[in-house]
Amino acid sequence: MTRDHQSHPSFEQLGDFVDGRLAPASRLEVETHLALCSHCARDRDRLEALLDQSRALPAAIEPPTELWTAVQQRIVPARSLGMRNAWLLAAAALLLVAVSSAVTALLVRRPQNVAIRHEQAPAPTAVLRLPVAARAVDADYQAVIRELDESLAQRRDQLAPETIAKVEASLRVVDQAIGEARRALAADPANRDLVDLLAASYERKLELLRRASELLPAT
Amino acid sequence: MTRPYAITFVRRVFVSFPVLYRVLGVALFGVLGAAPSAECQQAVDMRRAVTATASIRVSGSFAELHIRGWTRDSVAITGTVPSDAHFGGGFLTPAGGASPGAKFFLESPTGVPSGVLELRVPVGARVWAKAGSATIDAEGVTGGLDLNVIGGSVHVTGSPRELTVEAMDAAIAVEGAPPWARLKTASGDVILGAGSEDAAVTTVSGDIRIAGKYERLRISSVTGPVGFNGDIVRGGSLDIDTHSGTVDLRFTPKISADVDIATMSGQIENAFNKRAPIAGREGRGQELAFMAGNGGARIYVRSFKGNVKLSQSFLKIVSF
Repeated sequence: MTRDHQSHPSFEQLGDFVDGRLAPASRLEVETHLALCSHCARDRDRLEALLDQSRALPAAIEPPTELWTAVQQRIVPARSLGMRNAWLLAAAALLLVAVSSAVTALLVRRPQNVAIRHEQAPAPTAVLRLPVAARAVDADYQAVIRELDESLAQRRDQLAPETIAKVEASLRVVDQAIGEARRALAADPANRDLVDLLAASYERKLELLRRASELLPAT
Repeated sequence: MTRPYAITFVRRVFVSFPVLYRVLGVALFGVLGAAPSAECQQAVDMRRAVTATASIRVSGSFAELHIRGWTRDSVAITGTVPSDAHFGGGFLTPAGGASPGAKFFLESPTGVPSGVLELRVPVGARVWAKAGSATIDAEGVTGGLDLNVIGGSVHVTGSPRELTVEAMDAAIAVEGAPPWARLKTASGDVILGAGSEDAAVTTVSGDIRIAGKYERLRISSVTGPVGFNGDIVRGGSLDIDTHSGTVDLRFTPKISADVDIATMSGQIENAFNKRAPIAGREGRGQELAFMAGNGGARIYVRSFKGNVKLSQSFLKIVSF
């Protein structure tokens, strides 16, 4: 099922549902849907988990003393202490917004809508000189794939051995295709079709991992 | 040494009447065999009135699930499951009126797929089913179907308004023209028979065979071969990408489309018209682009190293 279908609640509705802001009639409707739709129920669980995590965050974070001393030495003496506090608070707020946006996107993102750029380069494959477009594709997918990979590895024993074998056999096929496409791109960096084909293979891998993770019993 | 009379008598009877001996043997075998199997099964029978568009969920370790759409506003789930399995669930119960949904599950202590279930639902219902290795066949549902299995097979007959099938190595076959379809499997094969307004089919290594008339169709495989035999409506699109699967395209001679095919290191064979493919970038692979008829539809094929074959189809294409 996809959320774009009109019978699924929108993401905003799910958010309002989790926050308890829905009208009673809408709430009943969403509740009924959640009882029957695993996709939406999973999203609801993720939102609730996110809410719990955010509740567990400390209300304020004190910077290390040495950092504060260094900052104090650099700031203009004429500025008042209140002004400095305001700037620090603004920076902290920006940082908090950026971090929480990234966490939200990571938790609630649909696999096919991989849009977050991750700064770190993929370690095992970074040796090839890929064009910028391909590097972006690599970074987008590999970060998500690594997450799913790690999550699956941790709960691998909860899957039947034959299921693991099936998943791994298909993953080998996809990995081989990804390797070939990456090598071809290194040799022909301007080939846009190759970038698209690389992205398509990554998409297949992502789907496989997602499907495998959906087979895990709910925790 | 003399044998007891009774033993001698029994021997004489069986030697003298070999047919009787065999019949008794078979009967004894039957009785011994049938008794435990009857004990090892439990019947499932749950029924209730539901809304015409009720949402029904079935999950667990069933081996077979037969979904049938019927013209009644009620749900009936029947069948037999092993006696050590737990079949549970029930209907959502709003205050008065028909139930808007139901949820059933089958838990087996061994996890081995077993049990046969038949689920009858209103034709307009939405059915969600999930199992490990199972045979699922659905017929006559025009609402929605969302079927998820690891192995086994999924067979859908009819045209549900919305069809999603996800599998690992199960084969997927759809005989019908669902307006919206998403079919995904890793190593299983996919057959989509009669067309769609919006369909997407993906596999890793499974074969993809598609026929019919489509408005928007997207096909993607890694090594799985792709076969398309049909038509794309004016303004529609067919997008295919594969890493190394062969692509066999057969279009109706009257198709109106802008065709753009490229394979990075494979070859293109064009038997659809006289247009010859040209060498690809830097002399590697091949490309072929032309307008068929007056154009209008878009046919876009990209392959890394698979071969692409283009020819005319003479099958009568069923429209949706």
